[in-house]
Amino acid sequence: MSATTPSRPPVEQSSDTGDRVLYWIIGGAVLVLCVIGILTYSANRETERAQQLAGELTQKLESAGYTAPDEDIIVRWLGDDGGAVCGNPANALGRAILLDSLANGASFVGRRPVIADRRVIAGGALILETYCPEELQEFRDKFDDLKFDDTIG
Amino acid sequence: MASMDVPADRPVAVPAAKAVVVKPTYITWLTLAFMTTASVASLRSAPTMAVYGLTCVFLYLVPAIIFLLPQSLVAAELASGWTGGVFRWVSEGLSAKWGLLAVWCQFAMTIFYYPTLLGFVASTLAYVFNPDLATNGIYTGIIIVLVFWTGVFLSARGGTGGIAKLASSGLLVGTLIPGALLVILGIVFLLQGNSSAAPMDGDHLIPQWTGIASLVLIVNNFLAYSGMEMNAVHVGSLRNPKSEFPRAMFFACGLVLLIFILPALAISWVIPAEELSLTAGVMQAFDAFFAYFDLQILVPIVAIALVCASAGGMLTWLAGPSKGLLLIARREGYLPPFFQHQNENEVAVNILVVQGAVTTVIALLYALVPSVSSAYWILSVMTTQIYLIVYLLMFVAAVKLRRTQPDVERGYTAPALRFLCVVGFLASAAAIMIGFVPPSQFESGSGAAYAGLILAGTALLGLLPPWLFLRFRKPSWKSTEAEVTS
Repeated sequence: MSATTPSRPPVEQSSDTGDRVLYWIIGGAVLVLCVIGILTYSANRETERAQQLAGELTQKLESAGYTAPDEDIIVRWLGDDGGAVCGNPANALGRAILLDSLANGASFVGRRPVIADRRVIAGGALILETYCPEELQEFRDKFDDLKFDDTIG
Repeated sequence: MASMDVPADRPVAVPAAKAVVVKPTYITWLTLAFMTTASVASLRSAPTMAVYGLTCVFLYLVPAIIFLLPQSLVAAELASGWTGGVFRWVSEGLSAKWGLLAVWCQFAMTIFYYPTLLGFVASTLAYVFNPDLATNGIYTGIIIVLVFWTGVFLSARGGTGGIAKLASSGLLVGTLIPGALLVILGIVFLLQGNSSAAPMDGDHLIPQWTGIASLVLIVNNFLAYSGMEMNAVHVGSLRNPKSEFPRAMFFACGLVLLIFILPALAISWVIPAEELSLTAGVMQAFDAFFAYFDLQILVPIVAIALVCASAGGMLTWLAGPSKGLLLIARREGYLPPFFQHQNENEVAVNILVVQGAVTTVIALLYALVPSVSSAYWILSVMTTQIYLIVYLLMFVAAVKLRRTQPDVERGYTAPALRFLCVVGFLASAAAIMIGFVPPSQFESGSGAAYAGLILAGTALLGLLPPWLFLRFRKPSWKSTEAEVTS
């Protein structure tokens, strides 16, 4: 009834060749993904347009009363196309990704929505307005009705 | 003799759940601690909590005192006295039927949880290879199905030992190393003479009080520690469960707190809340963080690391609740023999496969049907409500076991157990109540209708299936083999 040793004598962890091969395959797949990721991930290029858009975003952030990072950082971060922020943010899965982000501090099964602060999407809206204004209206239509509160001090 | 003719008190051998030669394995307490940590914590939540700056310390520490501490200490005592995990504790403390409810709630919630976890995996991979894919349903569906079934295959093949290895590796590669990197870079940022983007003074330690929204934020963070007890189902794989499980639990608690708090703080030092821009998911925040240091070459590596951590965590969730369900199914005959089949690694393969089929359908609906993906957050509310039922039962069972079975030797005795259980029970009940408050995602409609929807969903997913199992079970489903070995 109580937890002492298991009723059957356990044997040492099996380390047969098949398992080892499997673990090597998994490790290799992770390594290959990393290499492909590094090769394909395109850090944003520092073009003249990227510099100009970064300046615009800085102005908008400061006008809204937010702290703006250095323009060089914005250039590296958002390039001249806004990066992933502009990647179809208002379609169903884009919306699901954002809604999933308005959550508590759980990483796994305890993840649950909360009443978030508007600032969480405010920066995103300014990025859209600057880098891909054609996405902004749809974004606003989809997200302006969300219920926010001032939870960030 | 037809199975329905067998008297309830005369269990017969179950042909479908035929005996197989199992290969039980030992794991170390450190491995179990890593498995526990991998089930609960990763860097996924760091950007989400970084927006709160120093307040995130409060948002993690207060729930740790009110919920994590009672949960861990109580689970440590129970696991050092009884093998089998939550189903066994509740079965011994209350009754086998309550035990079924507990393990079903633990199991059922994962079915609806996997699509969001794997959707996160898909969007994280897309961020590296092609950000446009993140919002592509077919791509998301393929990744979810591929990763999930790979997980099922690995779980079935590896057993507890294999899962322990993979989950521990996932934690190390996917959380501990990149987490340490974030913290080191954050410290470097401060040492360079930069001022923190988020204010780090005492005034910003306590959350801004805005009424119900602040309460929702604080109480919902109790759930950040959900699952700390789940791996207790593997306690029989420790050489000396009585002393090793408590040690594993306390070590995991420390790791979980560090993983939750330090990387979130590091991000908040570097990136102002409004620039974290969660519109494209959490990778956008990591991208901004590394852009500051001109180290964006690390973005794809951190993305793959997050995927590894998520996959490792998923493996522990595949293995734990299904094992609990198998144990009670075999011992009490609550499930048909088909579901009682285990392979040589003691893995409930048929339960996993059926769970996989259901998860696949739900995941494809999530990925391909816009109305489902947009409203999927409601299911995450329902499933967390269901999981909280497990804690209510666990705390009640712990108090009863202390009273009814005081002579069972426990390797660890929790101090002030009754007080801990009252605190833990009230915390769980508070989290259930808060679950009825509509979150940001609930744009319009009646609050009462929302509460009714959550209540109905919780009852439908959490209470109805175990009731059906009990209602339609047959005496012949009880496995004599399980009786002998339990």
